[in-house]
Amino acid sequence: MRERAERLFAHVFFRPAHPFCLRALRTLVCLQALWMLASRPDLPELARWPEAFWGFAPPGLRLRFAILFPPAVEWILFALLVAALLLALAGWRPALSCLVAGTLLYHFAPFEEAIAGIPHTAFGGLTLPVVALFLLAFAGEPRGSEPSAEYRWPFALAQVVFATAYLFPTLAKLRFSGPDWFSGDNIHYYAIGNAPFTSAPLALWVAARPWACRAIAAGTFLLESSAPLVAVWPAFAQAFLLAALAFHLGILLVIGYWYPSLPLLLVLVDWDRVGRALDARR
Amino acid sequence: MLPELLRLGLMAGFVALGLRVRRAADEAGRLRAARALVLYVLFACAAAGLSQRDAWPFTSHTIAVGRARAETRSCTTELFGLDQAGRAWRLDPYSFTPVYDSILRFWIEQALPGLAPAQREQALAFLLQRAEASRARLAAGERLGHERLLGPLGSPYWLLLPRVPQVPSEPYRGLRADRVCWNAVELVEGRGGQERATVLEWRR
Repeated sequence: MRERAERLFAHVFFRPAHPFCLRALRTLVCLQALWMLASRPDLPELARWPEAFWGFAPPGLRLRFAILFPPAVEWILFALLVAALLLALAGWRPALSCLVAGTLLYHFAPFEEAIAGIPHTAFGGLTLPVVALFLLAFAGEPRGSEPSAEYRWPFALAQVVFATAYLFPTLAKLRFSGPDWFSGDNIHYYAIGNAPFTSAPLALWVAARPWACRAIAAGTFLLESSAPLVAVWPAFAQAFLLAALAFHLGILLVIGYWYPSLPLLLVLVDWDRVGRALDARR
Repeated sequence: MLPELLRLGLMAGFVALGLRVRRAADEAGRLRAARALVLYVLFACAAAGLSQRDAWPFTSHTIAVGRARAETRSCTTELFGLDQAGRAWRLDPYSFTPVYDSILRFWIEQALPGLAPAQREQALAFLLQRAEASRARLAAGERLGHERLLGPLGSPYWLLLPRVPQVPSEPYRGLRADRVCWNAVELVEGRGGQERATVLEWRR
């Protein structure tokens, strides 16, 4: 058993991969982070919010994320973050630029929800970029085109971290609600319950069709619980990518929840194969 | 304080193990250090996911985990700007950007009632100033929040509350918050309405 687990571990994280995997991961997370920052251009303004707003945040949260600086300093750090992401994207000293970008992104990502104790920061589109930028900083610069285990582990680990965004919600649903969460009835009432909040366009249409509710319930369980396979089996990851795209589109239309990490589904593309194919064409 | 410091420690451990990978002298050393780092990240993620104790960026991804039921009663706090004549204007969910409507609502429900009078005045005056700045932007045809730089290509906050583009031409003079409750099934079937109570009205 232990030997099989070791073999699986080595297969997922340390089989040789093309360096294109690291370049693709760096490009994807930098573009995602830049997109999110351009969509949140006034994040540093949180530093202007009076002390009264911090009473409900857990003690130590500001220390944990170093949310301690005056607005002028936050604006400088924000500019530095954008510059670091652009340099990382351009491939300029990737280890250094990714380390700076990862550190500053860790600082800024919770700003949006900090006064409420970051209840949904995981859902904010910057979780994988933070982890992946650090991994890329630790992995260093890909050289040449020779496949190596050194190019696999950061890429595979980023895929696994991304997959937890699907697996863990299923575990939480099972823990807090039991298997009945994945029933047509539950989806029916979720759709109706969210309709007054978000006015999602297909909420009532789906709620009125028990077969659609049952299909969504079963599809959610299948998709979320199978997510870890994306790191083991590249062909499955490609199928998962398409299914997850449909899943998030469905959530958007039925519940009215947007998934800011949607473009990061591209980390599931078999970039190893793409890199090797590009080499073969040269 | 301690839980936050432990979470910071978890992140510090990640960085420390990562830097060991960078400092390793040869490929074999790097792969050994990388193996330790991979195991650490897997452990941190699993600990967060299995215990449902978030340690972002090692996170439990706890969202929409409760069961929805027919008898569930939903409540929310709706925020309004008040004009000179006392008319109430529903505020756009991005009026307090970078803090989104649902986050501020949470703060208003949980934290505002416990504030000392002076802090409360300071906080509400600040919120009015933010709401008024956003009103002025919208009145001038400018965009707010995720649309400010990227227009429709910006990534919105995950909870897509309906936008409110209509604003008065005159400045806001005050703020109002209403607590609104309903049963969604009764509301959708036309058997029941919303119960509304004003929980906050404040003027400069």
